[in-house]
Amino acid sequence: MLSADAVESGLARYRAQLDEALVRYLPDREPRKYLYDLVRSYPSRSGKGLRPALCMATAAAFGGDPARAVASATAIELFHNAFLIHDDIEDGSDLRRGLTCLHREHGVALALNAGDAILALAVRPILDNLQLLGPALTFAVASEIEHMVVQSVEGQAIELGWIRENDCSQETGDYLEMCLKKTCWYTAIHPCRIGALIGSGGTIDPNRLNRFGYFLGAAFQIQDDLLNLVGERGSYGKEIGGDLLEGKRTLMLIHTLNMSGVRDKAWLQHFLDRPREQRSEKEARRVLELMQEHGSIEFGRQCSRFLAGAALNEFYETYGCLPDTPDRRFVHDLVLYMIRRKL
Amino acid sequence: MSKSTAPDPAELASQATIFIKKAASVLEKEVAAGIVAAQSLEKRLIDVDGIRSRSPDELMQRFRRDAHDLVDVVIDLVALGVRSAETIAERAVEVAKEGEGPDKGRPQQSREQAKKPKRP
Repeated sequence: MLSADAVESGLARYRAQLDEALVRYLPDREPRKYLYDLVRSYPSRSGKGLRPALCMATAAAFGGDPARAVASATAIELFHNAFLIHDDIEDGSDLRRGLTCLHREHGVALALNAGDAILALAVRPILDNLQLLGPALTFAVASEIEHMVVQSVEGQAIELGWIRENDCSQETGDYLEMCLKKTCWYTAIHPCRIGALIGSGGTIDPNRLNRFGYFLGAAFQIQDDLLNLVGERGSYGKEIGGDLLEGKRTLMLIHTLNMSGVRDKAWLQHFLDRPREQRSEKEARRVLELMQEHGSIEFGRQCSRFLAGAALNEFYETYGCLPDTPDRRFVHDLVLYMIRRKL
Repeated sequence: MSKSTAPDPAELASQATIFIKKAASVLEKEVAAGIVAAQSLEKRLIDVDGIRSRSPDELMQRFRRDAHDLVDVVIDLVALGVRSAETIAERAVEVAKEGEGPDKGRPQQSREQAKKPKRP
C-alpha cells in the first residue's frame, strides 16, 4: 500500500539535508543583486528534490551513510538547477516552480550568467568528495557526473533540433531515445548509480541500476508532460499548456502527429512551424483537442504506467536483496508516487 | 494502444511488453555506446589495485622514471621563468630609459615597432 505522506515526508527529510549543504555551497557575498541572489533563486523554490533524494536514499539502501552522499547529491541538484535556468531561456518559458522564470524577472543575460555560475559552483562538492570518499570513489562519481551532464545536453540538443527543423517524423522509439538522454540519466539513472557506488563503497556494479533508473525517469517525464497538458496549475508550478505553445515534442504530441489524417497533420505541422509568439492559445487548445480525439493523453498515461510497472519490477531485481529499511521503502514508494501525481 | 477505451488484460499485457522491450533496447544501445567507454577510461586512470599488485622493483623504477620526468619539467619551467624574467627586465629597463628621453610622456613603441621601417 502506497503512502503518499511517507514519500512526501521522506522527500522533506532528504531535502533538509540538501538545503543545509546548499547554504555551504552557494556564496553569500557580492555581487548579490546581479549574481548570487539569482543563483539562489531556483534552488530556494519549493522543488521536490527528487534527484538528491534518490541518490541519498539509494546510498543508505545499499548500506552506506547517506551523509556521505550529500556532496554528490548537491552537485546533481546544482547541475539540475543550472539546466532549468538555461532550459527556460531556450524554451521561452514563463513560470518555474510557481514563480516567474529567472530570465523573465532579470533578463536573459543575467539569467544565463547565473546558470553558468551554478555550473561552476557544482564542481566544488565533487572535489569535496576527495576527503569524504577517497580518490577512487571520487573519480568514479566524477565520471558518473561527467556522463550525466554530456547526455543531458545531447538530449536537449536533439529536442531543440527537432523544434528548429520542425521535424515531425518522430516515432515512439525516437522519443524514448531523446527522453533517455535528456531526462533519465540525470533524473534517475545517475542519482541511483552514484548512491549505490557510495553506499556500497564502490563494490557494486552500477550498471545494475540502469534499467530501474531509466524506467523510473521515463515514467516521471511522461507524467510531467501529462501534467503540463491536463494538470492543475496550482499544484504543477508551470504554465499549463506551455509545452504546446513551445512545440515541445512530447510522447503525446508525437502520437497525435502519427495518428492524425493528412489534413490535421498538415495543420499541426503549420502550427509547429511558427515561432512561439505566433502560436495562439486557441490553437494550442485545438492541439489538445486533437490529442484527446486520437487518444494520445490516454496513450501517454498508459505508457507512463507501463514504465512504472517495469521500474517496480527492476526495483525488486536490484534492491530486492537489500535489507528492508525506510530508505529502501522510500525508493520503492517513489515509483508509484511519481505516476500518481495529481493530473 | 490508442483509441480503445478498455482493452482486455491479455491485450494490455502484450502492449506493455512491446513498449517496454522497445524502451529496453534503446537503453541497451546507449549503454553500449557510452558508459562502457567511460568506465574503461576510469579503469585506465585509476588502477590502484593494478599498481599495488606489481613487484616493488617495478614500482620503484616507475617512481624513479616519473620523478626524473618531474625534475625535467621543473628545470624547464625554471629556465623558462628565468628567460621570461630576463626579457621582462630588459623591457622594463628600455621603457624606463625611453621614459627619461626627449619623448617622455608620449606613447612608447615596442622594440619590434621601433625597428620597423617607416612607410615612405
